[in-house]
Amino acid sequence: MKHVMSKTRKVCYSLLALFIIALPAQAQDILTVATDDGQKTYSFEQLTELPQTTVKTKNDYIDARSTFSGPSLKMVLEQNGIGPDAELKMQALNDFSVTVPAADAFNYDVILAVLKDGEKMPIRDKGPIWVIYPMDDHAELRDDLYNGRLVWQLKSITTQ
Amino acid sequence: MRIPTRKIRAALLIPFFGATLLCAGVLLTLNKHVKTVNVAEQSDPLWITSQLQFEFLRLKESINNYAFGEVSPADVELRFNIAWSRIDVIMSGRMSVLTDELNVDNAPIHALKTTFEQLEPEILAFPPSEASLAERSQAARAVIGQLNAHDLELRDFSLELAQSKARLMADFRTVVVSLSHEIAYLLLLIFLLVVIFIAFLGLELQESRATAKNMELLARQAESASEAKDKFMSAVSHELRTPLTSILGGIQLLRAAYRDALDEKAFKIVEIAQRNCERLLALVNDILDAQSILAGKVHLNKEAMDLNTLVESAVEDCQAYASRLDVAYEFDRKDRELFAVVDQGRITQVLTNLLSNAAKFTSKGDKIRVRAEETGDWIKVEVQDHGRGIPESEFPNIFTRFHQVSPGESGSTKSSGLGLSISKQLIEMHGGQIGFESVLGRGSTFWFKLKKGRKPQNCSETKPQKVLKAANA
Repeated sequence: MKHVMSKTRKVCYSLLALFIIALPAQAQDILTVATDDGQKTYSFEQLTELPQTTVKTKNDYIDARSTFSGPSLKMVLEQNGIGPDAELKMQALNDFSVTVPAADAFNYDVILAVLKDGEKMPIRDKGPIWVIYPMDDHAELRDDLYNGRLVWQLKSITTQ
Repeated sequence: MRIPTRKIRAALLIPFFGATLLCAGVLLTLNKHVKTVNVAEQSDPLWITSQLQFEFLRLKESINNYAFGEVSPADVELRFNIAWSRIDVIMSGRMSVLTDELNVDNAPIHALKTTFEQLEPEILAFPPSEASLAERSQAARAVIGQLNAHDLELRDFSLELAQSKARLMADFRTVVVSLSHEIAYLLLLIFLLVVIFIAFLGLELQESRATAKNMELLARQAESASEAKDKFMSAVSHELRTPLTSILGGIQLLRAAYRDALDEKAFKIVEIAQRNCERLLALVNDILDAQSILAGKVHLNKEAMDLNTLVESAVEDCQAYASRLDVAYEFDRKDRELFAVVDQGRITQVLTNLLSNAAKFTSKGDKIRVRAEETGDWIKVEVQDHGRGIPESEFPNIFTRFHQVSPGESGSTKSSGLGLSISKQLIEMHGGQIGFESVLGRGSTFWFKLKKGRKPQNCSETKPQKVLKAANA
């Protein structure tokens, strides 16, 4: 009986252990894209598995030119059937939100940067997702208007 | 009124140069200020500090909520991280440049970051939500206490930044206002300069107009002077001719009637008087002739004529005059006929003039050669003497009115100095050319050319009528 008990316990513990190990292993969703037709979530891994675009640029919030990489916003929008005419509400972790025309993503290589200089960005360093515009490549993007669209700590994209 | 425009213009260049410099200075200053303001505007420091304050408050709120079990430690951690990211935003990029430029001490932010670094292990080690209220409150209170210490500093920092920015904007406004004044002065200066330049242009225009008017006046005066002179000459000549004719008539009568009554001496005197009278009359006639040719009052009566015949008869006419000077003419007439359309009287006048001149200026006993020949489309008539010739310095004046080349040896050969000028006029009226070649000491050749004409159908033997002897003789 004791043996049986221990066996059951063993199974329980191993299950529990599995659960404990599996829990952090289960990918955490970091981005939600919501449209009228429904919503889709992305984990960090899912975002890095998408074809990556690299943008080398400087902006007002970093000290030096850096290399950002991540899926292009255009691709993510297209995956969700969002066209260039849509208006996107970009919301950050602190609930700050900005409305951005989807056309930006179709006109420029706007990316959802998940890596900065090859490294994951922690929340403290504007991660996990930072919307990056290729400002060094296009002078017109250096306008203050686009500064406000560099949403960091991006949490969700909602069409309006 | 003569204005030293060049000097004044040079002087005007200085304000122009100054205006340009001022303009460049204004633009440069404006550019500098715009850049600074741009940095201040773009980074929007007030928004960023308020964001930090906001996230700081939310962090504290979430810690409090955690103490009451309303939120999990993970939520606190998220707020902690977000607030941390706000600290970093102020300490990097444009914001760090701006706080430097505005001379705002960001020590409070550094201090906050140090506190955050110290608090990090404590916050990460917050007991789970399942822990007792006492445990949670204790952990939370310790953290909140340290965070609260920064409240005042953070507010001061925010205020200082806001004031600095306001000061910057105020400075900018002052600069813009002063620049706008400068620009106003600049415009005024440029306006003044333009007005001065226009005034100069106007003055110059006036001056040149006045000059043109003066020139016109002078030209008109000269014209009327010459006209008056011509009129005077013509009037005087007319007035002279009438008494002269009667004096000459009287002398001729005296000579003819009292030939025998007069002794040799008296007769000589009468002869001299007659000769001088004739010369004077010739001169007056010449003047009148030249006058009428110049005034365009002479009308040519042209017809086709053999120049050989014309030359021959002119030579015959002058023979008597020449023999008195012990000179002879030699005309080698060619068989060929030389027809030209001419005014017989006027061409004879020219010929007589050239022939008598040659006789006058050649040496005694000489034979003056006269030739008439065809050269291309022209008929050329030449009178060649072997006299003293003409010095080269006199060449340009030969056909000028009243010009005389060293008058003949005796008083009897003096001339009016009008003959050649009249001849030139007449030949040119015929569309011909007149000229001469001369070598000093060897003699001169005077020639004229007339356009060849066609022989008329009905006249083969029209001998020219005798023409009145030309006045020059």
